[in-house]
Amino acid sequence: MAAQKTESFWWLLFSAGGMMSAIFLPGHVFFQGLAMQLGWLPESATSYGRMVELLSHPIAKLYLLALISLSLFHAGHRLKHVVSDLGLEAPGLVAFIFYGVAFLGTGLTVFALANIG
Amino acid sequence: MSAKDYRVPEPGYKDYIKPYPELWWTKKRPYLLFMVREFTALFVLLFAMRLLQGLIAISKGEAAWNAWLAGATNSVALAIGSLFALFFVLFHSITWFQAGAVVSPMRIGKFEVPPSMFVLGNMGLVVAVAAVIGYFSLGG
Repeated sequence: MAAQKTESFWWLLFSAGGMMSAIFLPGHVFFQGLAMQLGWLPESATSYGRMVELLSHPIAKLYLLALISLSLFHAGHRLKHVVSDLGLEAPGLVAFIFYGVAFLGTGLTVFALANIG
Repeated sequence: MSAKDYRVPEPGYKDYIKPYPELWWTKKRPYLLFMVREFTALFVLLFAMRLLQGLIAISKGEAAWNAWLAGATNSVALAIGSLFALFFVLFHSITWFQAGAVVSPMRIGKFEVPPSMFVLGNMGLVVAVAAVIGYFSLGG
């Protein structure tokens, strides 16, 4: 099968993203998700000026790029397998959609980060 | 499914796939837990997109960010979504470290770290990282 030739490449991204999201994502889901949505974050902490200041730092940009991009590749790869585990057969199209979302998301992240600060 | 549904693949018939029930993952508890583990990826995907959405709003300027922030704060519907996301993302973390403990067992000198301790240690790291994220999120 042709798909298996590239499997190790996708698996590397899956693995890197799995590690990255396992360590860093819960904290973000709690603070940028739950806490923000319940109004627990002080207004001063989420002001536009402060967000730009925080995200202007190259380390913050690199971190968010790695976190978002690798999480998307991790999830895309895993969900591609979920789809076939559920018995739906369209491997080419499914892979195209999930990896396409990951590439698109990576591009948008780079573009957004480049336009901050 | 009964025994008669299985057939021995004939020589040269390489693509033979043993039939399995459509809802195979509901048949046994380990199968179900496997599927829940794989399904965590949906929430990883959704939350990564949510972070990206916020970043795009910031990159568009103050008005766009304030509008996005207004939509994100005091939203019960989103908070319920985040609660689900938190459950599944933590499920991902735990199962990821469980797999890691099996794939590459950790040794400190002659001491072989048991998987449960490996998972617990890494979850401690997750909490420490969350504290750092919290420090910056609450105003640093």
